Amino acid sequence: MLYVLGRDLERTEHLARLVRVHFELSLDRSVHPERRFWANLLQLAGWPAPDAVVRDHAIAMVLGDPSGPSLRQTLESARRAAQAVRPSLSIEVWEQVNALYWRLSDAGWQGEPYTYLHQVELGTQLVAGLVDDTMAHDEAWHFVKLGKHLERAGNVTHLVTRKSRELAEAGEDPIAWASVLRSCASLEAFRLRYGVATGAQTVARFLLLDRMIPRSASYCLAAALTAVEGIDRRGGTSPPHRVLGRLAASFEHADPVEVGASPQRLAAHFDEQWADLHRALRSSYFQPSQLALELAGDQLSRHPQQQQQS
Amino acid sequence: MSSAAPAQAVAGSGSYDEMLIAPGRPRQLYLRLHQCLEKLGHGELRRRQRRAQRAFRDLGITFTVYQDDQGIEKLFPLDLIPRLIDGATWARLDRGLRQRVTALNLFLEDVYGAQRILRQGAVPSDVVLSAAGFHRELVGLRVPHGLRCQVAGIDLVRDHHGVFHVLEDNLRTPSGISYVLANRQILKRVVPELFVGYDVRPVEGYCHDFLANLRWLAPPEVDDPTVVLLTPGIYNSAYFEHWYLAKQMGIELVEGSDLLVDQDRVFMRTTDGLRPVHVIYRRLDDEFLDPISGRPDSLVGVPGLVNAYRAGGVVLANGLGNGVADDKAVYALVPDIIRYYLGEEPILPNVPTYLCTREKERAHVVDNLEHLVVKRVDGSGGYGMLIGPMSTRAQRAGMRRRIEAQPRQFVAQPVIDLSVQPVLTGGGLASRHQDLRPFVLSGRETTVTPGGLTRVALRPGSLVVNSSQGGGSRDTWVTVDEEPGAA
Repeated sequence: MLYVLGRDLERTEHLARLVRVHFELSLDRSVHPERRFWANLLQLAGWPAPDAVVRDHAIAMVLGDPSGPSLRQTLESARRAAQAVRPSLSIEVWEQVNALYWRLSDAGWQGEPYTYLHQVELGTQLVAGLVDDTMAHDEAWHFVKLGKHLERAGNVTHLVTRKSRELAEAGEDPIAWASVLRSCASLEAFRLRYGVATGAQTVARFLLLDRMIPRSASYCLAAALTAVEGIDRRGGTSPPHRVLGRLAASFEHADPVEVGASPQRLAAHFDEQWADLHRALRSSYFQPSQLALELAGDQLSRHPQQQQQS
Repeated sequence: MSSAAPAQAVAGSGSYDEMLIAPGRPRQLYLRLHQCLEKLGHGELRRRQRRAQRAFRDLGITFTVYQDDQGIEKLFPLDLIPRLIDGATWARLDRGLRQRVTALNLFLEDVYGAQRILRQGAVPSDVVLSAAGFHRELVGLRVPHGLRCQVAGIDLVRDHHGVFHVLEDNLRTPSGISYVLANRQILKRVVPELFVGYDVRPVEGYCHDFLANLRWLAPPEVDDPTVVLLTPGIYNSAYFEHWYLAKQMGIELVEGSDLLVDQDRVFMRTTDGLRPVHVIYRRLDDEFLDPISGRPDSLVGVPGLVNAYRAGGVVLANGLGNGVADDKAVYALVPDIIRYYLGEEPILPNVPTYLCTREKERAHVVDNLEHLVVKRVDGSGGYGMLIGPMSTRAQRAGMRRRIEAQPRQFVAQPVIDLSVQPVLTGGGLASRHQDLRPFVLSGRETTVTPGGLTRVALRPGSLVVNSSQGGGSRDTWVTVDEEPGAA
């Protein structure tokens, strides 16, 4: 559940920023609207994309439709997770998860999504900061971080590949790529590194492989690996550690030119490993009975923390 | 009386008004507070009230009310107007409460020991031994320092003369202290100007004192004892309190499944293996603690826990079997219990109580139901009681049958006209009844946290203040007198 909390807070933040950036981009495109512009938002957010959809409907779906991965649902799930692991959270973390949930229950976005979405972004970032600065950096904390970093790695990888596919025929579109960077809160860092040359190759390279920015896939996988090491503590290599270590290494040692030219291959590798990784996480951390088997002989160990994960 | 009736309308009704002597005329102690409230004005106070409720909601301070098998999440309403108790009045309450709980602890130790008080006939043994909360199998069990009630919540009411009476003792798992702590915290944030000019005694010491007392119960050879709080879990109506107290005391909040008993010792499962547990502050009722010795259907208990307790392998706070001392029939005997153990007159009076086991008293009760409050002896939370003046003929007939069938189950008391104080409502200030539950901690010393939980009946005229029955609360300030004895 701590894992779920970290994951769903990250997902909430991601969805909010995605919608906000897309909305802002739409204002740049209002003279020549693209037919699939709002359908693309749904696709980026992980919905099966309809052929055409109007703005307010698309936003409403991503923000609150219970039939797909909506912001509202994700936040509710995060709060449920927080409720279940309340003793492991600091009062400040719990209070702000709750406050965010209630604030959004009271508020709506009616045609002007900025205020609402900005509130979500700031709210989730506040919680993330409180997680780091008010909780002991113990096992519980590592689980939150693991959920967060894996989710972020997945989001950025999928965003880059979906966008590459979408923009493949359109030729260079610096504004669209700047939006991708904005959706990952990384535009400024990118400019510092590459200047204003915002092209498909540099963006993909940057968002997938850069080791310095906290929102690149490579960085997040390394951070997730650190979390797994924090959880394993006893040393040795657990199955999640092995799978994640390999995955992180494939990002760390990938050829930047190749990835820039075709990010799809690395992303496909990511998706393959993703399934393996979650199998490993389930069997090692989230299922106490199997864990007990693994620790055979040590009948005294049962992880309450981990039991709460399932 | 309409729900928006101005406070003044009730001032002449006979109830003691804590704040106002006459319409618009506050008592001396409330003078500054009254001015401050007027200065803020109704609109501003309502805004602040909403802020306070939001703060409660964000902290997750909700409780679950069960009705028709359905649990509903509710906020425990807080009224912003504090109740004030001057230093001299408090000093007397403090003495009276310590006296009462000291005697009750001696009583518990005696009833589960030599039973001197019964053998000497100082109180009738049939009343004591027939209490549902008396656990015969615990007679002879020694507990550390002979102390069985580490925390008591004593319910006080103030009659129409302003005299405090003890209405009920709660010696098992009294709840409400977290609201005392949270109310104060929220009030400081939301209406700091109310505090100006008052020297309010802090309540925060509770957690510190309580934890020190709990640690003191551990075997002396244990250097750094492990104390845990055992909760029934997140679906319990008091879960917020369990969580909050565990956080404030820095102890683990555990559920039954986190503990296990091995050879009469209790262990907590942790990621590093088992850790011995020495003292359990348990918020589970006796019968749910252990599916082996209590209710076999208890899913929240720990198998073997009661045996471990009886073998001295773990300390439970509060102890088992305290129900014998807060039984509502035994309540009637408490003045004699105080005289017997302490050789003193009780400082705080009881409310007159009729025991339905006594034939003459029972006859009086069934003939006068419409003037009396009838309570189940083992009831709590305001469930199953009959308030005579507000009852229907059919309710009284039903109660009469129940009393005749099970006289030991019921006691009756005259209706006490609880004191009133204005609360903030949408239509202005309105008078509501209230009581007071101070919390008494017993360890090396017996101490009372200054103030306690003032519970407010939010329905006009209602005398039932229990949170489960729609009550709210307000902060309670014990002030330090400017000149000693001036009040």
